[in-house]
Amino acid sequence: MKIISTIFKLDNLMSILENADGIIVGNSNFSARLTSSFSIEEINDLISKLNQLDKSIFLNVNQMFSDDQLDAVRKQFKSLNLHGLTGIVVADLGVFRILKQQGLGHKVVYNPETLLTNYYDFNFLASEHVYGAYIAKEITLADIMQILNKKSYKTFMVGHGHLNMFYSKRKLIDNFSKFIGTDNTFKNQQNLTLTEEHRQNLNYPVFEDEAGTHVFRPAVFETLSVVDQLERQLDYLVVDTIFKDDDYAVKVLKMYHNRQLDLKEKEQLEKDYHETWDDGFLYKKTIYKTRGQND
Amino acid sequence: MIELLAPAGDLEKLKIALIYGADAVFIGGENFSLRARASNFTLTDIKEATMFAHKLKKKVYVTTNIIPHHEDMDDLIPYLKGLEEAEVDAIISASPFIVDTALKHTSLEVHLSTQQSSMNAETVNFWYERGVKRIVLARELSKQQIKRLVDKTKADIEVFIHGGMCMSYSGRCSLSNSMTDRDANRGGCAHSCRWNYELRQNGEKVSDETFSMSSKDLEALEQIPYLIEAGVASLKIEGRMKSLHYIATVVKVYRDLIDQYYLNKEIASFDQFLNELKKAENRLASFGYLEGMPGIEQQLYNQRSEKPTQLFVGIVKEYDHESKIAIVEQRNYFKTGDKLEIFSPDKALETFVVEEILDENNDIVEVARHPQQRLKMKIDHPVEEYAMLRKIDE
Repeated sequence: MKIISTIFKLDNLMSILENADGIIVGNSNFSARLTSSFSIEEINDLISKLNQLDKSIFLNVNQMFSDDQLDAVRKQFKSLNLHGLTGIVVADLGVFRILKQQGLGHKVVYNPETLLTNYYDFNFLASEHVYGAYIAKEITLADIMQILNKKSYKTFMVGHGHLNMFYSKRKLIDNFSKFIGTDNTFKNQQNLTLTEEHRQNLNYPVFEDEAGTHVFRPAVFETLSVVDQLERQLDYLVVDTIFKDDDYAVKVLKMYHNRQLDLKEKEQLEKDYHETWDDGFLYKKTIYKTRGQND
Repeated sequence: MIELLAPAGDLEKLKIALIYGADAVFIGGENFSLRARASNFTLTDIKEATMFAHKLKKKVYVTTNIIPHHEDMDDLIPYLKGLEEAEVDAIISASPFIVDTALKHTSLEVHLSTQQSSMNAETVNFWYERGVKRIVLARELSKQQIKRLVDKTKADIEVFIHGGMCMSYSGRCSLSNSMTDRDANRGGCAHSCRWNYELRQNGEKVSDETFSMSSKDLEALEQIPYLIEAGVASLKIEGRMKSLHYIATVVKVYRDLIDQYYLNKEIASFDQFLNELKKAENRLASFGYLEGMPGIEQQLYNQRSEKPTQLFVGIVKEYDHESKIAIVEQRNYFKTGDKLEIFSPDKALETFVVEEILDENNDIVEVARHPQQRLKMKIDHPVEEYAMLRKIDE
C-alpha cells in the first residue's frame, strides 16, 4: 500500500515525501477542494521532480464540467506533461473520454466520490483499462474489504482527513455574502464552518472555490486502527490535509508510514487543530428503507 | 413531438398525470428505487399502470435508481425480469451494475438517472455507447449548454423543467448520510440541505442571518420553447411525493404550453400559465441553471414560501348528464354557498356556486368536512370523471 498526500507549499515537498510515497496536486481551473492551487508550470516542475525521485504524482481533475468547460480543460491539458503523471483523478466520465482519446485512458483514476459502493460498480471501467478508482467514503469496512477482494484495478481511498459530503456548483457562500451585504466573498478560505441549528456542537467545514461550494464532515476520518487490514489489499491510501497545514501532514504521515497510531501525537493534534478523529462509516451502516416496504 | 414526463406516487396519481396530458410517467417500484417515502408500486400495480398507459398510447418508466451496496444486489435479475413482463417502457437507473444487468438480461430500455450527473456530450456518449438510450441530464446546465450537448449526441436527452432542486450534484451528496445516518443514494435523503445553518469564520458567527443552502424550486415555463427547438427529447416534472392536485395542475399547464407552442410557434404570454401554476404551488420557483449560474435571487433565505392561491376541495368520480348530479370525493373542507372552479383535462375553466350538498343517503350536508367522503352535488356545466374542484377565495 502506498500513501499519498496533499500539500500546501512546495517548500515542504521533501518533508512530506519523507513519509509519503507521492503527492496529489491540482489547479483551481480544473480541480476541486484543493489544499493549494499550483500553476501549470509548478505542476510540470513537480512532475519532473517526483519522477526523478521515483515517487508518485497524481493530478486532480475532479470538477464536473459542461462542454464549454471541457474545451478549456482540453487546452490546459496541452500545457501539462500528462505522460509524466502516475495518474489523473477524474470525477467526470467526460474527462475520462478526453484522456482516452489522447491515449491516456490507462492513467485515469475514477473518483465519483459517493458512487462506487459495491465491487461491481467499482470495477465497471475494467474493460476500459483505467489505472484505478476511489472507493466511496460512505460504506463500511466490510463493504470496503469486499471491494478490495474483487478489485480489477488499483484501489484508492481517502484514509485520513475531513471527508467531503456535499459538492454544489452554486456559489453558496458568495450568495450569502451578498445577502448579508458584506464585500467579503470568503472564497478559497479554509477557516469557515457551518453549524446546523439543532447540532450546535458540530462544525461542518465549508469551502468555496472555482468549482462551487463544498461541505465536509466535522470529524477527521482516520484509518490507523484498520491500516493493517487495508494494507493487504489497498493500493493507495490518501491523506487529505485540506483545512490543516503541511506540519500537520508531516506528523500524520509519520503515523501512517509507521502503520501505528501514536496516541500522544493524536491527542496533541486534536488539541492544536481543534479537531476530533473518528472512524467515519467504517462501522456505521447507513439506513436503507426496508426492502419491499414503505416507511 | 417532445415528451412531457410526469411523476406518479401511486396509481391514482399516475392516471391523473396521464389524463391531464403527460405523455409518460415515472414511478418507483418496491425495490431499487429512491424516494423511499413515496408510495411505491408492486409488480401487480406496475402491470395495471402499463395497461392503463398503453391504452392511451402513453408510457411508464420505472425508477431503479439507487446506488446499491452489496446487500442490495440480490434478486435484481428476477426483479428486472418482472418489470419486463409488466411491459414497462424503460427503467431509470444510476448504478452501472443495474444498467449493465438490465441490458444483459432483459430487453428493457435503459435511461440513465440524473444521479450520475451527466454534464457534457462526452459523458452522455460514454453511456450511449454502453447501450443506454436516454440520459437524464444534471440540473446544473444552462439552456445553451443543453442545446450544444444535444447537437453532439445521438442519445435521447431528458431535462428537468419543474420541481425541487438538489443543492448538490445529484448522487454526489452524503449530507444526509453523515448528519442522520440515512443514505441519500438509497432512498433515505433527509433534505439536510434545506435546514438552517449558521456560517462561522474562525469559530465566530459571520452574521445573525441564517445561512441557507436551499433554493427556489425549478419552474421552466419560459424556457420550454427554447428546449423544444434545441431538440430535447423529454421534459421532466419532478415530485413523486406531490399531491394529486399539484400533479394535475402542473401537467396541464405544461401540456397546454407545449401544445400552444407547436400550434403557433410562439407563446404570446406566459401569465396565464404562471397564474395556473400558482393555484397548486406552495414554494417559490425560478428557472434554476437554465439561464446561467443561479445567484442570490434563487436562494431561499428565511424559508419563505407561499400558499397556493386556490384550494383543491374535491374530485369528480361520476356525472349524470340528465340529472346533472356529480358524485364528488371530498379532499378539503368546503360548504354550501362556496364558489368553486372546475378544472378538467380537456376543457376551459368554469365556475359555479355550490347550491346543495348531499351525502350518499341523500341527507343534506352543510359542510363537507370528511376526507374522501362521497358527496352529491348539482353542477350545471357537464363535468367528466377526474375533473377537480377548487375553492375560489373571494
